[in-house]
Amino acid sequence: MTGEITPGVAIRLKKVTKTYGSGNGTVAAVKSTTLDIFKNEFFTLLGPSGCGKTTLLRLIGGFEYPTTGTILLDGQDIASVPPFRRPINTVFQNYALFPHMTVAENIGFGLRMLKRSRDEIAARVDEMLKLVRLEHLSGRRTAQISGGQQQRVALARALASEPKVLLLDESLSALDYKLRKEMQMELKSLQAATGITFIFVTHDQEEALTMSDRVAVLSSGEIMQVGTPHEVYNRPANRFVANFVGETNFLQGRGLNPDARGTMIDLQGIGAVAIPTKDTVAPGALVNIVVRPEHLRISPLSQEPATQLTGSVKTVSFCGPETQYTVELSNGSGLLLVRKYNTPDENPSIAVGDQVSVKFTPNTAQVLPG
Amino acid sequence: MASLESTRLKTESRTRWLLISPAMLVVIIGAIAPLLVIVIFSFLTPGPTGGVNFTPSFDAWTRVLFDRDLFDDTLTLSGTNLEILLRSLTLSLATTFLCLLVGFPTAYFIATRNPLNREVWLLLVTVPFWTNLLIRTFAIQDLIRNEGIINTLLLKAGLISAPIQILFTNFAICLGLVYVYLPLMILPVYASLERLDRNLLEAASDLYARPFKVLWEVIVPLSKPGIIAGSILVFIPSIGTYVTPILLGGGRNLMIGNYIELQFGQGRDWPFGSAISLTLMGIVMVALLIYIRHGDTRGHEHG
Amino acid sequence: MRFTVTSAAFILGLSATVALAEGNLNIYNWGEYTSPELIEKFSKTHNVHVTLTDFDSNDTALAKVRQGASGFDVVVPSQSFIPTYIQEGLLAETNPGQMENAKNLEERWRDPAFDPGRKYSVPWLWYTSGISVNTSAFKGDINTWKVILDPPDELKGKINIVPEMNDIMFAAIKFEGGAWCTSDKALLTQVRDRLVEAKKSWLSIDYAGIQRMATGDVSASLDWSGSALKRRTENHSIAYGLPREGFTYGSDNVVVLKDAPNLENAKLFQNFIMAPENAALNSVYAKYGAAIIGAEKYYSEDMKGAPELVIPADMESKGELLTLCDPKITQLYSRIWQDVQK
Repeated sequence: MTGEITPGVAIRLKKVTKTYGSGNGTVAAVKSTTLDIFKNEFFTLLGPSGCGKTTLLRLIGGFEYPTTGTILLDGQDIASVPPFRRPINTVFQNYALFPHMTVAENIGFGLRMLKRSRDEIAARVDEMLKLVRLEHLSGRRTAQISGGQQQRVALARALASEPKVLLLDESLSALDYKLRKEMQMELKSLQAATGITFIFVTHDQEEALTMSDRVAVLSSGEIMQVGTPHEVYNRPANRFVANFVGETNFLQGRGLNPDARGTMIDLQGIGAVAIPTKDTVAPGALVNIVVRPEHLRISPLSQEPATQLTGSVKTVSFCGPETQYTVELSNGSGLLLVRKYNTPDENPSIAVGDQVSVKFTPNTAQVLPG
Repeated sequence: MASLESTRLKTESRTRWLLISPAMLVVIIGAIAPLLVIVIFSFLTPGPTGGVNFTPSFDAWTRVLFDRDLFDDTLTLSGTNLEILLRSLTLSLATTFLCLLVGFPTAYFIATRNPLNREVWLLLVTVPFWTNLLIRTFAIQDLIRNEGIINTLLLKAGLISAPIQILFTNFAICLGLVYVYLPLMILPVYASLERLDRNLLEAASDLYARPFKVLWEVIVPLSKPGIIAGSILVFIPSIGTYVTPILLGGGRNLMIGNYIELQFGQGRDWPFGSAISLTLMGIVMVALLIYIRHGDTRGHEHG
Repeated sequence: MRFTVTSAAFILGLSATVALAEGNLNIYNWGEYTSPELIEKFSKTHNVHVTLTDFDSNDTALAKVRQGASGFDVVVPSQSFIPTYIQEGLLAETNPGQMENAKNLEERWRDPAFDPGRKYSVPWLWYTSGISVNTSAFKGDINTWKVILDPPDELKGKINIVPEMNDIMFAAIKFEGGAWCTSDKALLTQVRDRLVEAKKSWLSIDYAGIQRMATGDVSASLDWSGSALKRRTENHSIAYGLPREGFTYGSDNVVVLKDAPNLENAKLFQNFIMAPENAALNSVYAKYGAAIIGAEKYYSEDMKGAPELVIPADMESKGELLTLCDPKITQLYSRIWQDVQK
């Protein structure tokens, strides 16, 4: 194996593809993918089901071998190394705890397979039990503990042998909302405490944004964008990312010559509207205006509808910290989602059926090619 | 309301008894009554030409363990009975072990096929059951006898210079039993392997278990209920087998089933026959108890 | 294993006869031991509907008959069992010795010890018990139990014994110079040791072992006359020897049960089978000798003059009728037999 050590890179995928079947029935689960995952990083593979994120994870774990391409771990090609020789451990979606072993036996399994001494295993198991706060359950069978506890056992088991990389496959999806929030925090702090590279797979964009240092958004076996949660959310590389990560409004239009008010877009059915964006738009270009619901302002219609978005309120939903409105644009070109933070003394001044105007917060809208 | 409730419960319990009664009747007439006859017989003395004399005696039971010396009436530990019992146990345990050795990989193979192929394989496993046991045993006889297919092929291939005596050996008995009872091992083992969560195998592999360790640490323990059920299903009919020792063992070495038959036939000692039958039943029951103790508790938890 | 002649008759277009049958006759006999032609002939002659049921051992038959209400009219047990049937009062005294065809009985079977004066039984077929040997495997003397009890090297591992306790015990006792039904313990010890030693040279203890003489797996077997004859027709190098140390002969006999539903038909049947042409039908079917004078005229070609079916004059004195021993002695013998088989 030839070394190709790049400082700071834990996992490097080079032109990795994975196809199933043969002949006409070939299905590409992962299309040529190149990706670096750094040391000590909490990295998330995000995408809808069937996007290839789990396959990618399984390729790294060694449960599948790539059709073409190489996978490097610390510069060593591991593409054809079986899982039991990779210092990479996995927390499975359904935890895959051994039902015929106790919690402690589960946690010690990897070390036992590595033929560590009895004492070392015992000490390490204790340490891991403490880390996930399950000391009192060490003798229980895995069927006798709750889902959240099982999750923590799976985590402890995967971390016990101090892998270089930890893979987490939709590991939180089976938990209920509150527990999931708790575990998100716990995972994050565990990652920080252990310094191990975590590669997390999820279809939940909120989870991805909350926990990750960096996120890769996948669709149909291809990486759409890699970046920090902030970049992915605020500067989506394309319509797919914009749509998949968070809620977004799309407005179609054509570029006009900018004037004093800023970038001017001829929105379908509305006419020229000033869009406060940093992006430059070539006159005549077909574009999509992407704007998050919380970057829109809603107010009762006060002036003539020229050069602004107007519509009537279709729904109002109170969600605690915020209120969501859907506004049917007066030109009939679609619905806008608007989110507004609530203040305690505020009266619900806008009701269903009200005519409203909608404005952009400066420099929040993004222009993507149409 | 309370009285309504109690009436309803009464009706329910009556219905339940009515529903159970045919099964109970079959159990009483078909199993308990004959068993009782056997128990009573075992405490009587043999009639002059078969049958029993209604003279109570423990003699039959004493003779299960002890031999009254042919010539001076002293009791010694029964060599004959123990030897026959030991042979039956050894042969049936060996059969069980060989069935497991062959059956487990077969079951694993089937369980890892895709669901459609699995059904075909399972069907193939049951094919031997479509033919009568005697015919299958005769077929084996033809395969392994001196002028049989195996010896002829080996001779023709020049691998041996004289036919190997396979027929009428303990090995032949074992072979026959394994052939006949193998499906009884494969099916329950398959059933528990099929339920086995594939993720557990990946998890073990992920945690540095080499393929053999995956088998030993995860697959085997988790298919234990199937392995035990299969072993019991093979062991019980093997230990009581009657036809195979005659046809493939040549009747030279009795197994306990033949020994019992001998007592009710030419031996004309029904009480002794009854006593050994009950002894055999005892052994089988012990085997079942082991099953209940060890086979049941684990393994149902996953799935 | 129930073979109803009705169905056979039906196929033969005899349903009209059956419908007019004056009665029934239920026969309980060894399997493959009853000539269908004989039954058909009896059925036609006397207008009787015959039902045939098989048994596989004397013990089975006796146990069944003892239970009573078996529904059988006639049973065909071996002669050694007949005294038991008589003592237990299971039989109807039909006096076949006085029947019309009794004049055809061979001298040997006219007034046998097991049924003095032929008050109950009529011989079905008779047999000797000896040794079949493949003479191409062994060229020595075959008129001795030595062949199977102290076998020459060329026969070791090629011997079959039929699992008939009385036959094999008789052979061993005679070989050791004892008398049948002896309780001489010194002699019985020798007998046991002899059998245990001899067993090492036996290939199998199995009825089916006899048939394997044809394939060459077995070169010598304890055998019966008729069976030996069949073996010889399959393989001409097989010969049958009667041991000069002593051998048994015996017969299976038709008896009528006390509770026979069709007593008269049963009597008709007893008389019927004593006619030479009828007795011969059975002989030809089973290849055993009929105990009836003149039956040999109706034998098939392979049976005429067959050495297996006669006792040579010089052997006459060595043969004895096989009897059942006292139960105590039987128990002793069966213990020895079990010791051998363990």
